[in-house]
Amino acid sequence: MLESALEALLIVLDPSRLPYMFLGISIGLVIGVLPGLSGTVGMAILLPFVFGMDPYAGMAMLIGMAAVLHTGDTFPSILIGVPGSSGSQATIMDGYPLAKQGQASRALGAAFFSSMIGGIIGGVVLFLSIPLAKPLVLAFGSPELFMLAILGLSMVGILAGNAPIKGLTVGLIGLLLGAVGAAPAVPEYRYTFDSIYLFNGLPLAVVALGLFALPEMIELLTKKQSISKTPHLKGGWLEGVKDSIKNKWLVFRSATIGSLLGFVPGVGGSVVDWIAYGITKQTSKGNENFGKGDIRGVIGPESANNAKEGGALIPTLLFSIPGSGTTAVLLGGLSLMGIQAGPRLVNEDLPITLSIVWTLVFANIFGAIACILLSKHISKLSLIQPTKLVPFLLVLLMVAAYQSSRSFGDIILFVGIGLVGLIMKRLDWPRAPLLIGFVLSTATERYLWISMERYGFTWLYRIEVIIIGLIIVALLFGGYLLKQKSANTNLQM
Amino acid sequence: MNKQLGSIIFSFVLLIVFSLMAIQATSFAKLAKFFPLYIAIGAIVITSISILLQLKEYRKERVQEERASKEENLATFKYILWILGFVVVIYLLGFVIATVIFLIAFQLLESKHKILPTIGSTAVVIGLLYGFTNLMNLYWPKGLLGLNIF
Repeated sequence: MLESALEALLIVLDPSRLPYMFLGISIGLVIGVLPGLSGTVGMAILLPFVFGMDPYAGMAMLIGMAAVLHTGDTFPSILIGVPGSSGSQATIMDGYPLAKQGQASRALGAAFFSSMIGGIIGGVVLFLSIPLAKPLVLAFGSPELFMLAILGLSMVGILAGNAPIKGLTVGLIGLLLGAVGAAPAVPEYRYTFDSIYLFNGLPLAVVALGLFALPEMIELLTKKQSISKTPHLKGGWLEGVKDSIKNKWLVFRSATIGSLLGFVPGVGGSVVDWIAYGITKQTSKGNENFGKGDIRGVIGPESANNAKEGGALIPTLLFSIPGSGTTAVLLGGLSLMGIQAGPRLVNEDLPITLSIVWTLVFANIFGAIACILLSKHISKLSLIQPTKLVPFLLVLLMVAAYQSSRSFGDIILFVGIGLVGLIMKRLDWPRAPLLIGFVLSTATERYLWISMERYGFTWLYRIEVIIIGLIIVALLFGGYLLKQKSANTNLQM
Repeated sequence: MNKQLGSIIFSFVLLIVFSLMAIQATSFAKLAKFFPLYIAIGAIVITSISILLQLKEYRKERVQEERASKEENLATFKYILWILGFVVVIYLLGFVIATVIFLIAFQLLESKHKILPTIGSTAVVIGLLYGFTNLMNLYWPKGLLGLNIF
């Protein structure tokens, strides 16, 4: 295995193949920076070019793109409070408040460094799991996937802050919005009012952009204040890197969570992001400032969302089970290059698999370096007056929203959800639980239905289900205890 | 209107929406109705509790909180109209023409830019849109007139 790894390293570093990796990295960063565009778009752009290509060069390009997507998507999340992709939604919670405090460079530095380490850990997990993957992936059935969805939903309570009932209400709104469209169990359309646009449900990108981005744009214009409330930027990217090193165990923990969740098919990037954020908040001492600009709220999700890519490649490459749109298109790319995903990739085609691992590692390093070098200049966006910046951002947001289903309904939905988000923001209702409920709605219903149909109620006694249930209880209870302890410590002081 | 009262009204609106969704859910097929019906019922219960708690707090104390000024509210309404206007023009004339009109109008009237920088920046945006159309195969709404600029 080690000799194969060394052989694959030399293949990846071949001067004739390196440019393809850098091309993939460049496209991945651009796709990440542009809100509303996902890895699926990037894969779709590169796919026609890989036909008939040398498999190593082709994989370097595709994986290079996918690896850095969640590095580049941090720019809009932190600088303008707009999720660059589904995997950077949770980063907004603390990244954007940091930008408002004039610490955008610090937040970006911490995010990019954590993303790099997370991505490397994801690559290592992929490498180590090659001989172990089969029993692990097959251990997750519909009951376990349902419990993972409940784990994600439990984050609603954690993210509601001091308004748990409002948070719960908002989470339920999200669950109901997620039920719009085709039912998973039967051929029935729900809450569509005979509108063809709603048959496929509400697009996630439009909901996320509307909920977070549009209210921020209107507030910036109304208050006539730049994103940064301070006239100068404080801290630099190096301070962010030091923050990440200071919280090295958080980086490692979050990356591990990201890899483990990533390798479960059907758990999307946005779910991993929120779970990582919720767990970071619950397990961090002195977490009163989460949501107001705590750097750990950036480090946790950013480590996890890059690590997820390595984890997601395990079922994709080894079992042809894509966990997301990006990996589904990647499988298509493999076919175009004459590679069949499955056990062959662990035996005869092992060098290709290992070259993918090396590409993941190098792409994360180069992508992070490129972003860190750009961060100082791009951070200055947070100092621009809103009347000069916001009209262009609005155009960008409209472009982003429209790409979801390429229907005018996307724009109407974007503005509609945006106005609801504005009302919620003004009335101090939390918005993050809505997104979590929305993202997990279909998975929760689908896996519950499959579990009940297949197992009746006996699935509740499965050991894996009980373990995940205990983890949920431990997280919620442990977080409550930590909060009480912190409150008592403050009282004593 | 202060935040507390606004929050209570918002909760009432949500209660009505959840009730309508629960009623609608009863008309779905058997396997399709359970999830939205039970979630909607749960939401009705939680929202009702929330309204009662908020009303109790509202009666007990009128919290002195920072209210948005009348000017701020008017400004919010103005910028919402700008965005709605942009959407209407997209619907009528297509995305590219609407972008040109919106950017020029906003920069001249709100940002108070001079005419040359306004036209220059708008041209850059249109150039970028053209680039994305060709490089990344992105699509734009054409509008009622069906004008396809790119």
